[in-house]
Parts: sequence; C-alpha cells; structure tokens
Amino acid sequence: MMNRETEDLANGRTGPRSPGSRLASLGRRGYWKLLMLKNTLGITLRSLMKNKGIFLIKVFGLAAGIACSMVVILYVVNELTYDTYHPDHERIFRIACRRVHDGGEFTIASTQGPLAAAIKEQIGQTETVARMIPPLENAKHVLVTRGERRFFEKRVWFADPDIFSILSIPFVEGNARDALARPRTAVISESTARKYFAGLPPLGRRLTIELDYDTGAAVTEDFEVTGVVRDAPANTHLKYDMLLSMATLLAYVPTLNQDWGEYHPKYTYVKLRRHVKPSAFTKLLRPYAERIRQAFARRAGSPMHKLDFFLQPLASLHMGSNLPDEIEPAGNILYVYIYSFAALLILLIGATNFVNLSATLSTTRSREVGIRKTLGGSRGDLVWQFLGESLVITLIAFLAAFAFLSLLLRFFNRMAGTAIDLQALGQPLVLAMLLVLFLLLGISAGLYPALVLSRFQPVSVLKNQATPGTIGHAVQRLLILGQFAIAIFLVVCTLVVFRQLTFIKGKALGFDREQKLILEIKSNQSYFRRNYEAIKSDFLKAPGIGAASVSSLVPGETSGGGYSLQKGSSFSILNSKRLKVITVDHDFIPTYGIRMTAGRAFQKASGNDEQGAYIVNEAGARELGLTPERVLGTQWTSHYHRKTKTIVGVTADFHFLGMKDEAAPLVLDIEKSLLRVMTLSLDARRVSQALAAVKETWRRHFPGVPFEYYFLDEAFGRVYQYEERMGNLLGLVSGLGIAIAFLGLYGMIAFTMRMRRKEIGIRRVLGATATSIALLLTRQFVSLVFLAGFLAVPLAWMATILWLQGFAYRIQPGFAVFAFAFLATFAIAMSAVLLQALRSARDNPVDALRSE
Amino acid sequence: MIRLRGITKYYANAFVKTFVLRNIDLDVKEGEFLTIMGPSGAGKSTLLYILGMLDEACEGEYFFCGQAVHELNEKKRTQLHQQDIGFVFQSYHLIDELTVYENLETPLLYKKVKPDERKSLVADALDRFHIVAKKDLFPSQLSGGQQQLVAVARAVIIQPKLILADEPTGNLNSQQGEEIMELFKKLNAKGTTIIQVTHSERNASYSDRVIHLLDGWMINGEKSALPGEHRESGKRKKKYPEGT
Repeated sequence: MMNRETEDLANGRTGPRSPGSRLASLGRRGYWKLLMLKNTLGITLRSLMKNKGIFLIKVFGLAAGIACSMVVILYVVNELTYDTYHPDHERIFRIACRRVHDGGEFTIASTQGPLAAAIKEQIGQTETVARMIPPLENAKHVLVTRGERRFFEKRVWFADPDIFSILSIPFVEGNARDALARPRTAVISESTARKYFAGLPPLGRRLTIELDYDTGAAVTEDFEVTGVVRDAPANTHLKYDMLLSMATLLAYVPTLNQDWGEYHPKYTYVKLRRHVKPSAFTKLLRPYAERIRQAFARRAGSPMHKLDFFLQPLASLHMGSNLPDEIEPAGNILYVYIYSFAALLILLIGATNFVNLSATLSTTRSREVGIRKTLGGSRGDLVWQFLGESLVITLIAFLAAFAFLSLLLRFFNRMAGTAIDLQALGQPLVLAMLLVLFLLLGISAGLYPALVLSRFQPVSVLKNQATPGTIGHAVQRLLILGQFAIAIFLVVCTLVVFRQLTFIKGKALGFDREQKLILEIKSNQSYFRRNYEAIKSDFLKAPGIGAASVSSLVPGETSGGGYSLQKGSSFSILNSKRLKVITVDHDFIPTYGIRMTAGRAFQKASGNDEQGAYIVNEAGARELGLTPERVLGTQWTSHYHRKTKTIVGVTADFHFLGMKDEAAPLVLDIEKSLLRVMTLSLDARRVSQALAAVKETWRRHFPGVPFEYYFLDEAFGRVYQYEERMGNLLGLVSGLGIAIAFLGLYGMIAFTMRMRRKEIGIRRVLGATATSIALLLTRQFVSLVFLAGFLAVPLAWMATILWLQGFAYRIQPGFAVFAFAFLATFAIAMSAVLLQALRSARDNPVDALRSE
Repeated sequence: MIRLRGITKYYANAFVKTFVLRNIDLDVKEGEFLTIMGPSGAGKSTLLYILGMLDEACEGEYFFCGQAVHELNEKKRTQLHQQDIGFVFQSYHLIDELTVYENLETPLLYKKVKPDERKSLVADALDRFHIVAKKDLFPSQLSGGQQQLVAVARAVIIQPKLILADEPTGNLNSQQGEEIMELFKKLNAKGTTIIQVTHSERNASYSDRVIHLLDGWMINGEKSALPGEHRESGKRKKKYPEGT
C-alpha cells in the first residue's frame, strides 16, 4: 500500500506552486516523475511478489554480481591507493640504492645509517627526513612480554621521531613530539595495546622486549610505552605494531650515524620542500654515493663500479617497486586484472539474467502498458516507469549484496591474503564507484526491458491479439548465448588451474615431507647454535621421534641467502659462481630422504666434514660447470666464511619451493652460524604423545619462549598459495556463474512454458507424446549452448595456455578438459530445460485449454 | 466536435491488404450519445480506438474539436486524449496490482493534476460512485459490476469531453448492465459526449443515434438497411470483398 502520510508531507513541501522560471519547470518535471514513481513503486513490488521465484533469481543474480564487484572494488581501491592517505604524499619519497660490481647489479630499497643525518645537516632541500630500521637480527620475531602475555611480534621498527611528520600515524594517546625522544621508549598501535594491556591505560606502563642487535647475544629490556597510535591501515607498505626509539638502537650500535658500510637494512624517507625537483635532489646525493662506494670497495676488497641513490615516490611503492628487501611483498597488477575480470564476468552474467528475465516477464505487463497508455501515459512515462523499477530492483540487489558482503570479504581476504575491512566502504572513491556501478547497472539492465515494454501498442494488447513474447527474441537468445559462453570459459579455466595444481602437487619433489614437525628457534638463537647437537639428542629421546635435523631453511621457505663460490683456495668475487645455500647438520640428507646421485652424504665418521665438505645438487654441479662425477673432489671457497671445502657428494635435484620452477642450483654446508630451524620426524601413530614430550623438552631448553610449531606438509602447501588462491577464486566465480546462468535459464523457460501452455495443450490433444514435446522445447536451447561452446573454448584455450607459461612443469590441457567443461555446462543447461519441459508435458492438456 | 472524413484502415502484408474500415465519414456533435453497432469483425472497436487516438487510420482525416488529429505527432495526441477522452472496456482493464484508489488516481497523475486537487477529485469520484468502502481493495476482490463501476469512475475522473465505451456491459449481468447504462445516461445529460460500441439493442436504445458497421463499411443511420443497398455510400468504386 502507499503511504498517504508521506504523500501529504511531500505535497505540503514541494507542490508546484510557482510556474515561470525554467528552473521551476525542471523541478516540477522531476517532481512529477517522483510522484509517478511512487505510483509505480507499489505496482513494482506487487508484481514482483506475483512472480516471486523469478524475482528472487533476478535479485540473487544481480546481488551476487554486485557483491563480487564490491569486493573487487574494495580490493582494487586498496591496491591502487596505497600510501595516498599521507598528506602531501607527492613530496614524500623513499631513497633506494643501486650498486654495480663484478657480481652484477643489485638494487635495494634500503640505504645507510648516516644518510639521513647527512641530508638533514648538509644537503637541505627537505622538510624532514627520517629512518625506519627493523630490529637487526630478529625483525620477524621480537619476543614481547608483559606478565603472562608473551607473543612474537613481527612489525617492530626503530623509528626516528621525525617519521611522524612525514607519514600520517595519528596518535590516540601521547604526542608525536616527545614520544620517541628517550632510549627504551615505545609507541604501540591500538590493537597491540589491547593485546598486552587489555583495557588498562598503557601510557607509562612497561613492556619487556627482546632484541638482537647483532652483538652476539639477544638483549632483553623494559620499554616504557609513551604513545598509542591508530592501527596501520591495510593500504600502506609500512605496517607497524610497535615503534621503538632510535636512541635505543644508537646505544647498542654507536656507529649507526657514522658507519657508511654497516649492512643491516635501513629505510630512509624524505619529504622534500615544495618546488624541489626530485631529480635535482638526487643530484645532490651523488657525493655521498661516491663516499659509500669507496667504503664498500675497501671493505669488500674488490672494486665497486657504480653506486647511486634514487627516489621512489611513496604512493608508487606498492605497485611499482619489487626490490629484494621490500618491506612487504609488492602488489601484483596481474591479480588486480584477474580479479577485476572475474568480477566483471559475474556482473555480466547477473545483469544478463536481469535483462533477460525482465524482458520475458514483460509479457505479463503488456496489459498494464496498454491500460496506462489509454489513461494518458506517454511512451516516455512508461520508459521512466520501467527504468525506475529496474533501479528499485538494483537497489534491492545492492542491499542484499551488502548483507553478505562482510562474509564474502572475509572469504576473499583469506583467499587473496589481504586485510581489507568494511570501513574502506566509506572512502569517497569507493562510494563514487559504487554509485556509478548502481546507476550503470540499474539503467543498462532496465533500458532494454523498458524499451520493449513501452513499445506495446494499447490496441493490440487490449484486444488480446498481442504475442509480445516474440519481441526481442533475438536479443534474448544472444544474451543466453553470452551467459553460457562465459560459464564455459570459466569452467575450462577452473579445470585447467586445478589440474595443473594437482599435477605439480603430485610430482615427486625429491624429498620426503610427511610427518615432519618444524620448530623455529626465534629466541635464544646463539644458545641454540652453540648447543644444537645436545638439544637435538634431547629431542630424539622423546617417544615417537624418529630423526632430527637442524638447518638454516626448511622446504617451503624462500631465502635470498646464497654463497658465491670461487674455485680453489682463495676467494675473489670476480670469477665466483652464485649458488643458493642451505646450512645443515650431518643428519639433514637422511632426515629428508634426499637421494645421492654421486659421492656420499655428510658423515660424522669422516670427522672433518664440518670443516672440509660441501655437497651440491645436480643443478648446482651444472652451475659450477661440471658433471656430477667431475665435480666430486673439486675445492671451492665461499665468500661467506672464506673457508675452502671439497665437494664430497651430489644429490638429485629437489624442489624446496615446489614444482613451479626448476630446481635451483644449491650448495649444502655444515655451518653453525646460520642454523635456525629444527626438523623432527614423527611416528604417525604417536603424534600426540610425541608432541607433549617435545613441548616438555622445549620448555627445558627455551624457558619462557612460546612453544610454536607446524607440520611441514601443511605449511608446504603455501608455496602454491597464489595459484591456489586463483584456483579457489575461479572455482567460486565459475560456480556462481553457472548457478546464476542455470537459474536464469530455468526461470526463463518456466515462464515460456507457462506462456506456451495452450500450444502444448493443443499439441497433446493432437497426439504428441511427452517426449516429443520435451524435444520440441529443448531444441532451440541445444543449439544455443553448442554455439556458446564454440565461442568460449578457443578463448579459454588461449587464456590457459598463457597462464601455464609461468610453470616449469605443466600439463597440456587436452581435448578432455574442454569436452568435459562443455558437457558439464551443457548437462546443467539441459537439466534446466528438461525439468520444465517434462513438467509441462505431463500436465493435463484439458486444464490448459480450459483456462483460456 | 468530431469530424471523420474518408477514414480507412487496413492491415497489409506482402500479398494481402485486409480492410477493417473503409472510407468512413462521421460527424459527432458535442453532447451527443452515439452507438456503433454491427456484427463481430465489422470494425466497431477499431473505429472506437481511432476515435480515441489509440490507433491511427491509414487514410482519411480526423478533426477533434477543430484540431487535425491526423497531423499531430504521438506526443500531442497523447496530450489531447489525456485531457479530453475517457475509456471504458468490456473487460474493465483495471490495473490488477493497484488498489481502487490508486487506479482512480493514475490518469490524474498522467494529467499532472495538483496533489490537493487530485485527492479531492478521487474522493469525489469514490463518493459519487458509492465505492468509498472499496477504495483500498484490489480489482480481484471486486465483482464484475463493481469493477466496471470503478472503470467508469476512472474514465470520468478527468472530466473528459468524450467517453468511449467498448461493450461496457458485455461481461455484466443485466441488472449491473442497466446500472452502468443509467450512469452513462446521467453523464450524457450533464453534457459529456458518449460513443459506445455494443451488440445489444437494449443498450443502443439509451443513445440518441445509432450507426451500423458491416465489413468495414458504414451504413448510414437506418437500422433496417441492408448492406447491399448502401454500397453507393462508399465513395470508392472497388468491389467487396477486396484483397490484393
């Protein structure tokens, strides 16, 4: 029913009282449209209720499309607006460094400690300059304690106080001016404050923080909380939970502001003065670059050909910078494209459904159109009415989409590894995009039905002569064709992605990853490195532990670490070969079941392996320029410890990072200083018993350090996470796409059947069988789906071939995949048709005829 | 008020022209009550729709209150019939999804009547046709007679100069039919021009004048005349049946 009171109100305020000016007439026209809309709104809702099923399908399809696009809009906006929220971000830059020496060209995002001071004191041109320095040796696992609350923190920084006037880090408590002035002070984020203080006012209270300043042992000290800041938003490359005062670091590394050769990463941010050109500023940095070049050359004992600094605009870091020491993995524009494309496809299918079903339903509205025209409604009035309806339904779909947006967003965040929250909806850019989406969808989805409907001639409709069902048949078929082409395309892509994943997962990796318990030593590393043999044998005493090994790396972990190896007994970078390194103990090769192809594994019995033996893999031997047999017995010196060792064995290639790429050239070395993980082989039948015992042993050796562990086979899955995310996303999208297409087809056919009831009744009376009628009704759709297949398959083939290029080991998507995708879609489409056809063929024909 | 000259209507496809109206000349004076009679398929309804500007003649001239309708574009025509013409149909043609009140309101909305005036007009119509109690009901909740009553109310609510009625009592029982016809009579007495199409002699007796149609030809005025004798009234020489 209409609400009269609202109407009264509206009348009182906006009645068209003063004709005359052009503006007033425009306003009046809008006002009448509004009144008309109110009149038709009731009709919209009531006629929707009359065809509930179709209405639900329409809204569901559209809502699914809208929800998907909302998530993607949030994602894209998040990706593309990284660090644009800092005031004057156009003037903020990170200084990066490029070096060229004999080993090649290296570009890194970090610079040297004294650079910031030099800029401030000698160069000028900047408003502010500040450094952000991660904890030197334990950046990813800073143990923080307050009473019983102990956690490893990953986003801890030493910060120059000036950072607050470069980046927007709003204070909730405390103030930016003196928060980080003294040593051993900390500024923490709101969620960190909750985590450790649970409601207590954090200011002035203390946190115990363990830090490794690379001075030989970790230092545990109390820090005073001097400020609480807002949590870092999802769209910054520099996320933080704790900011510690630079003065603290300076106390342990006194040369920080003078030593141009200190190698731990330090990130330098500058905010240039207005009207200072970045290129001009870069020029001023040259003398300092030269000084550093000389310092490096002296230290490395080999010439460095070139070193220069360059500025990276803050807002470009996420998408535009992918350096080896990037603070967080760079954004991948490919995924922005893939996700946008997927959302677009869903939106297309949903909108197509909407148009199709509206056009189909128009047959029931023809009489109304006729009446409205006889009552004085013009074609324009009717176009406006149906457009209005379409906007209303779109609005309903938007509301429905909002309803399950948070659910979908959580799912998407898990899948895409993002941390987008609903608050991002409030951004003007997002709101603007949603508004555009709303209008675009509402109008484009409604335009076709509006034009079809408003074209009905009252005379023919009212005299019951109209067969408006035939109007626009071609367009409707085209739309169905498009829907199914998209669906088939998606199914093929999904199948190929999953088959490829199964393929690379099933391929032999060259090592054993079952029943491996991994313990990472994040605290007390020096104790561990000194005593690992004893610690290992203690763990081996636990029931159910079959083997144990320590290493610098376990499968699934990426590491930039490598050795430059020089043949012979002295080292020079000049002719060295670069191999990845895993430092291990004697038991590593048997624990992981790695096969030897030549020579021997490390042996305790040989007595001297720790000082004198390397083992390489086959790819490593190739990299060194020798066959596995010839490489045995050759001597090599590493840049890292300058020890000369003999290659005693060659292993078969093994894939620690999965089968995406070929095995990397690798050297295994027994070297204590890099050890940090322990692998325990478990007896599958005694897991819980073993875990309890392992925990006990952990407590004994690492008192006060949280016991954290994981199983290798679970964690190893992460190496394929990008591919799996994409597979899951495609699975979701194609599932949704097919569901919407199926429902749309089902609804449309249900409706067509209702319209053709009489015809079917007559055919039955004339002797047609149920089967022949079902065939009659399905025939036109069969050819449509076939055509969709012919369109979609080549496109899908090209897309998947392109994607597969990225894999070293890949499947050939054969005929079977395409045939299966096509047949599956076909079967689903046909089930929609047949279900309806059989039902209407079974009806008693007499009923159908009598109802006329 | 109405002046038709040589109105001809046919449906053509590649091979056949099917004539519905042939060369109709007709004058209707303001305040007249005219009945169009004739067997099924004689072209009665088509003539009515052409008069109502819902349909266009293929040939001929149509003047409505001095305006040349055949020269107007669709928008102007819509305006004209919005202002001056009300329709009543055999099958009522109320909008099923709107209440009685909303059905009555719809033509006023299209005519852009001011809200206050609109409300008073609707209230007035509800009152006059004794359907105040039914204003919130939907058409499906009313009997046929009541629905037609609403339809008539909807036709007169814009205070049209002309009411066109297509078999207005066709779906009603005789008593309901009579009530509707009495209603027309009253409206006519107050000055509204009425043109109705009917099969019923009884209904025709309410009117001032009756014209007959047969196979698209108009047979002037006389009820007893046979079609053959009036062949001359058509100015065309072509012989019936035509179809080339």
